[in-house]
Amino acid sequence: MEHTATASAPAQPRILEREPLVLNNRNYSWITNRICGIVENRQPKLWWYLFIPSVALTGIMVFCFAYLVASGVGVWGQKQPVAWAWDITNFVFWIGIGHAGTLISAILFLTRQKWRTAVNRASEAMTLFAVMCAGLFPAFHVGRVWMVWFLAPVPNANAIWQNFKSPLLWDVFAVSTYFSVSVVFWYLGLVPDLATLRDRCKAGIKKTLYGMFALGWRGGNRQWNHYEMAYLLLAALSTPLVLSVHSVVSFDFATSVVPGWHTTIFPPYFVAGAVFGGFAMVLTLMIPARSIYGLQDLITEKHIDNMTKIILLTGSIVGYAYCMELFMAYYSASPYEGQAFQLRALYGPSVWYYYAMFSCNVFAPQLFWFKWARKNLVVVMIVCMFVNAGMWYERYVIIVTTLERHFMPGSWRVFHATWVDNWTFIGTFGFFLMNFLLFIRFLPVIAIAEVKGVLPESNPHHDAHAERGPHELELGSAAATTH
Amino acid sequence: MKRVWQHPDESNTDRRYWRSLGEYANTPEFSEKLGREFDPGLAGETDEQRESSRRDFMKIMGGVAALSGLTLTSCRRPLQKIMPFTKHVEWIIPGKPLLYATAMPRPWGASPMVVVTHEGRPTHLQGNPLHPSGAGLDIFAQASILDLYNPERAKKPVNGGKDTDWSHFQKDLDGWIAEWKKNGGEGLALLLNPSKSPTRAGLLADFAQACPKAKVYEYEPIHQRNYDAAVKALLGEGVALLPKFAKADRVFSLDCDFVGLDTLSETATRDFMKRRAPEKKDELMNRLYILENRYTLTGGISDHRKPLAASLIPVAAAVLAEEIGKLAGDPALQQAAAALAATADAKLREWIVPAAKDLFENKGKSLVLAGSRHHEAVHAFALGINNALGAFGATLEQLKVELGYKPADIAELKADLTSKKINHLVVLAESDPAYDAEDIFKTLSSLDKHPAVTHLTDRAKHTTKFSGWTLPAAHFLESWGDVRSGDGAYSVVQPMIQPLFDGASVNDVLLSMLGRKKFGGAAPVVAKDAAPAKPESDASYEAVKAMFTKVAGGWDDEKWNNTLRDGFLAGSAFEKASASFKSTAIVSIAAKAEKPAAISKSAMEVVLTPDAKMWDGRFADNAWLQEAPDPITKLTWDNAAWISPKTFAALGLKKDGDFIKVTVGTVSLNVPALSAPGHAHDSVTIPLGYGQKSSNVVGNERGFNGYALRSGSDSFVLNGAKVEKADGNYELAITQDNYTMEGRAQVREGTKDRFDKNVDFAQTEGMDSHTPPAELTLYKGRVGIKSKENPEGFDYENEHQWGMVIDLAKCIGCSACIVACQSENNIPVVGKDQVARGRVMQWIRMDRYFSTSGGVEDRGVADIEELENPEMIHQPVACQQCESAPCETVCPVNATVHTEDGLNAMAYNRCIGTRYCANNCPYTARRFNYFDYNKRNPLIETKLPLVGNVKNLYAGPLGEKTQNETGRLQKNPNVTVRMRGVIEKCTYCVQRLESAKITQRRIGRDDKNNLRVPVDSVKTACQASCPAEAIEFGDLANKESTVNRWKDSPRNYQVLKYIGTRPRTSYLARIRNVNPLMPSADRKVKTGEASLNKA
Repeated sequence: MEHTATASAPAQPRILEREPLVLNNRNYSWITNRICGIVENRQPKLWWYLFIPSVALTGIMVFCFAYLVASGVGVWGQKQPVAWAWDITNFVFWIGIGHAGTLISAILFLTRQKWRTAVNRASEAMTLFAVMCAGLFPAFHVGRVWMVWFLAPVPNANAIWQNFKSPLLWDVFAVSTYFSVSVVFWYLGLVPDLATLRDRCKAGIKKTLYGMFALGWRGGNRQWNHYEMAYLLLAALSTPLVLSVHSVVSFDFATSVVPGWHTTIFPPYFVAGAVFGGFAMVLTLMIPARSIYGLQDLITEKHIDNMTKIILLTGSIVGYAYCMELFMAYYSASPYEGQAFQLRALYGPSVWYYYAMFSCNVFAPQLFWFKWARKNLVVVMIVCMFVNAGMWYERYVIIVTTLERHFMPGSWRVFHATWVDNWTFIGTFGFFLMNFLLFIRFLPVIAIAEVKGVLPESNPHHDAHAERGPHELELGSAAATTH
Repeated sequence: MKRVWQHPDESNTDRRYWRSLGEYANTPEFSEKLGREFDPGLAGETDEQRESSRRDFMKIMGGVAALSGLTLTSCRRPLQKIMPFTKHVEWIIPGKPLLYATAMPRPWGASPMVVVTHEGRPTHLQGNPLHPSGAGLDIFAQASILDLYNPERAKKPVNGGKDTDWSHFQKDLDGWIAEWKKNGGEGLALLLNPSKSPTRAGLLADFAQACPKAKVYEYEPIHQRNYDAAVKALLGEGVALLPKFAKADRVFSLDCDFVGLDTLSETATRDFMKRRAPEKKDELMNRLYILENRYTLTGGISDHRKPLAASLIPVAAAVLAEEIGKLAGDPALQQAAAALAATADAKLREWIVPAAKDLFENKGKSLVLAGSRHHEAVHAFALGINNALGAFGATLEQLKVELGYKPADIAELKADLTSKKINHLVVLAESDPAYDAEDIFKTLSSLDKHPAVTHLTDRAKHTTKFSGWTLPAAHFLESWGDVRSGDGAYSVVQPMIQPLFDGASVNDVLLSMLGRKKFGGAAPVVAKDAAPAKPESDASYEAVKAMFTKVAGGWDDEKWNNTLRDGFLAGSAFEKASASFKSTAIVSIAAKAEKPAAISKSAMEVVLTPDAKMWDGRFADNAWLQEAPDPITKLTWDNAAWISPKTFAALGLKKDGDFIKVTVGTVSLNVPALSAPGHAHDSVTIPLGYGQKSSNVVGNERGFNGYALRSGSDSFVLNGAKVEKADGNYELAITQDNYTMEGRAQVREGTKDRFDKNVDFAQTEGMDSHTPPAELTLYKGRVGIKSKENPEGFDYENEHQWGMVIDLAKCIGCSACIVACQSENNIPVVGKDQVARGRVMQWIRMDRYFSTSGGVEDRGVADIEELENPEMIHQPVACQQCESAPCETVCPVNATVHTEDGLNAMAYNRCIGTRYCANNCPYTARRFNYFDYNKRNPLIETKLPLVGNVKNLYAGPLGEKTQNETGRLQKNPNVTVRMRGVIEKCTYCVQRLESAKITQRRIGRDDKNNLRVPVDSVKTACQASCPAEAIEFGDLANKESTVNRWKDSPRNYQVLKYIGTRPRTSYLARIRNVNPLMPSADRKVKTGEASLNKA
């Protein structure tokens, strides 16, 4: 059918020329050398300049948590009625950042977005570290940290079970599932590359360790066959998690009765926000990393362009959600809901947080409508910084400004953060960066095996097959035979 | 390893003993059974189950524990010392309280009370319902139990700064007595607070006989001298007046805070509030007019209020007297008032005239009261008006009183000190004369050689600094005494506990001065097997018994026992008097009144008032009172100068806590200012009792000393004050920042008129008219009454179903309930810093709202008069015990769950402190232990290496952890003392409910149909303390219960009903009885209707 149709039509280019994903016709060995080189060579001085302060900040974070446990949650600024403040704000902030990684590795994988190969490894690592930072807050924000095991369904002498109606318990399961699946997914992707590193090492402790974690990978056909199937299944498993985790996190608020929290729009709004914030953080990390380590040929402007487009899309969804919230507050005719938003946006004590949120998250990304802005890395970095900050403000606005203006006006109070609040949060950035720097130091930041798959050499046919990656040959073989 | 029980060998006798046939036959079953610890028949377990028995479980768990012990557990080693009774005290059952009746002596009489004791420790005080004046307890009486356990109480007699003991004092005293015998007590002076104790009066009379030349001075910092003088002049000596609020239909208050701090009788609040029930068709609702310079609790419940500078109160009194004189045809009164009344401005007259008409129309049923701080003339006018209105014998009762000795006034003390007539001053006052009668002690210290001072005190005070001998005073719960209440009912003050710190009462000291008691002597250590010293040997006890014999007209064991049991002697009230009113005297008193000073921006007035928590300052070391929010300003741990918002702005002040400099004469005081709605302009109110300097952790340097501003000891209204802005801002710990209700109708009120036209107006206010019907719900939950249609509902057939109603028409906002709850439920004090951070722990929050007409839509357009005199209303909010509780669904660990009887229960042990419940509670009723408030002293600082001084709570494990050893004795053993990191909240006093249910179950053992707690027999702590009887609690499943009757009132409404939480606590709307003829009355009526239409 197709052939008859094309026969009568004038000759046209069968398919638009695509920008290559790897520039300058780099070959397999260049890619291997370049990526492995980061691990094998000495780190640039900048690495140390970043690593040492990060370790110091991690130490401060550990101190702050230790102080919190030793003295009481009161060292933070919480009060009545603001029982959650920076703790849950930071939790939601970090968990949101942890969304880009799995989205890139799972959803983009399933939707055959090949450009993912250059950024998936680092963003998955970022996800893990962000989730680690996130998990610290709910764990330590409770009044009796030593009793958090009550959250685990362990049989106990009192025969009290968990309350499965509570969104906090859903949170525990959602976040821990997400983290464990992400770890497995990430690790699975690392196996062939770990084997590469192992093979390039001289004998020694390094070789032993890489060898141990490479799980005896030899790169045989059968191994690749099983590996790719496993990878595909895990991708399918993580895809719903990307959507579920932040939906569940949003239930912490949406299922409550508090005006300003009690909204049905929260799950999609939170997921969009998470992807939005996550991509901003990926760019924040990758743009400097690619120039420091000379990865411009692998992480190209096309990659950055794609990601800024996603930021533009999700940012607009978030903006829509903000406006819809306001509209619903008006349209619901509920005075509590209406006042909650009036106080949030017009005359509450913390309105400037609202405006900071709105301008960072909704206005700043609109620059990405313009190609020049997407191409200009300085602009991209600045916008991403705005988004990073804006997403924190968003969570602050949702959590703190809502609680500051609760149902009973007699108990209204304004939250003030303490130095422990500040330093705990700043400390988690150190912890995050420290982990990320260690990751750069010891593991390949780009998936070597996968990125090779997008080279033209990997597709000898240069036709319809060429547009497909090595992974899908099995899957897509039925479709391919129609030609 | 199963322990095998070796059966002892058979005894070597010629007889064989056996325990059972099994043993006799020595069957294998029997030997097997013998080896087992528990009879399988009892445990009901099979052999198979026994394979993994409890023992095995314990073994495994023991192993696990031992292994985990190697790692992390055992971080915290519980170290507890237990001192059990080796010999059990009679009646004591651990966990079961014993109740005793006693009374707390007060300046105006007594607070009759029931003391709850646990294992010999008094833990809680509550009103004595048997006593004719027993009407809850006010906040001071409620909190007084904490003073008993104050760790900083005086513990030993101190001589010249050195701790000694009583026997040394006795040695000195013996020498003094010998001297007094010689010179008749020349140069000896006693300084006391007046008391209504017959025994003390008797002892003072005896003392006057023994030492005729010694002088006895009496004074009260918050005195009623002007009032007493007026009564004496107009009614003669020996007459006391007792207002009868129950009979008063119309009350006019000239700055008299009779439900608050101008206590005229113990029952004023109860009786006045009884008449605030608009449902009662047979009884007219009373009406209250008030003129005052600042908002008081009485102002808050009034129907008509006008802010008026205190200096103008005499004018207002004169205008009212003139009007009433005109109406009643009392020319003497009219003439006496004319001169002063002529100075009144038209607006004031306009306000008073219709009120006067209303009073006169209710002749014989109306009552006029004047605040104690005002000039004698004001009291004379008030009495004259009462006379003209026929109040005497109707709403104002005359009682015959007799003191029996003649005390001298404190003004004489100053003169005597200056003329050096005194060489030994014995201070037995509960108040602190060096602080609250400062000029006397200034005189004292100005003398080149000041007389010896002997001071009986419960703790270090200003006066202590002057004293040679400082003697530890006993608390009223530690000593024998007696007292008469305002109406004269005789109560015996009985000790609940041996003196904790070896203190002595005033009676003890007086007895020792009379030589009838010897201090010291043999050490009080009791021989091992001897019974403790019998109270009979106590001289005070004998003195009280002797007085009882006198009062009761002869000793009678039964009467005595009944008095101790019921808390009063029946039929001991004062006789009624009927002194004739000397109207002519009014003229001469009125002539003494000066023309009121002009009040202006450059010459303001300063009004010194008793503080709602410190009174005159004697409660400064009571942490519960320090932390209880002031009912009007919601300020804790400090006082501040109250200024009207307009004057506040005119002075250039920006925010609460900005300092002002108040100068009266030559003295000036820097004090933080507080913008107080409803305050008169160019008038400054400074509550007294603060700014004390002592070594005590709780009371030292809290707030600012208003006494310092006055030159004498008797004036409370100071004129010609210069007030200016000063530098700096002082942090004030205020528990409520927001004044308005934001149109959310938490509090509902209407006028009597509105209520009569539309009785259930309260049920349609706010969002309630939009609330979906109760049965409309998204998911089936456990709400409502169990029935066929609602199988998951609450079982009203077989269970108690607890509920509460709070009548806002009766609630005055006094906050006694807050302290009662704190005492009953072991609620910790958190200190000023934590209060300022919004972490107050009190389970009851007394919300106070100011209201003007118009809803939120009218924001900013309320006319200025309304803003200057908004209405004030209080609402106590604790956990509402929602049937469909939002807090329960969100707790991940099931730490807060619902009970069968409808309580929202809190399992502290299970709580991990996620605080989600606190966020999801629409009433903000949940409190979180942000620190270990019970363990770590929040009031002190700790010195840390490198860092320096930090607040103790923030010092973590390096801070002071052993706080308040004596305070622990106060804790209610039936209530968990919460650790840090857990949420807590009102439980409806679940310990009381369970105790009542257990008692009833015991009764029900014999009578299966009698498993219900008798109707209205359980009271929550707040309910028992409420002096206005505004809280009703009981079993909703019992048709007879009062709480059900209240719930049926058309005024009944639920706060935030719209959310569908179905709270078990509901409120009755407040009704104000507005006089349509008053200026701005139409506004109130309109307000009511406006919001009605809106709904």
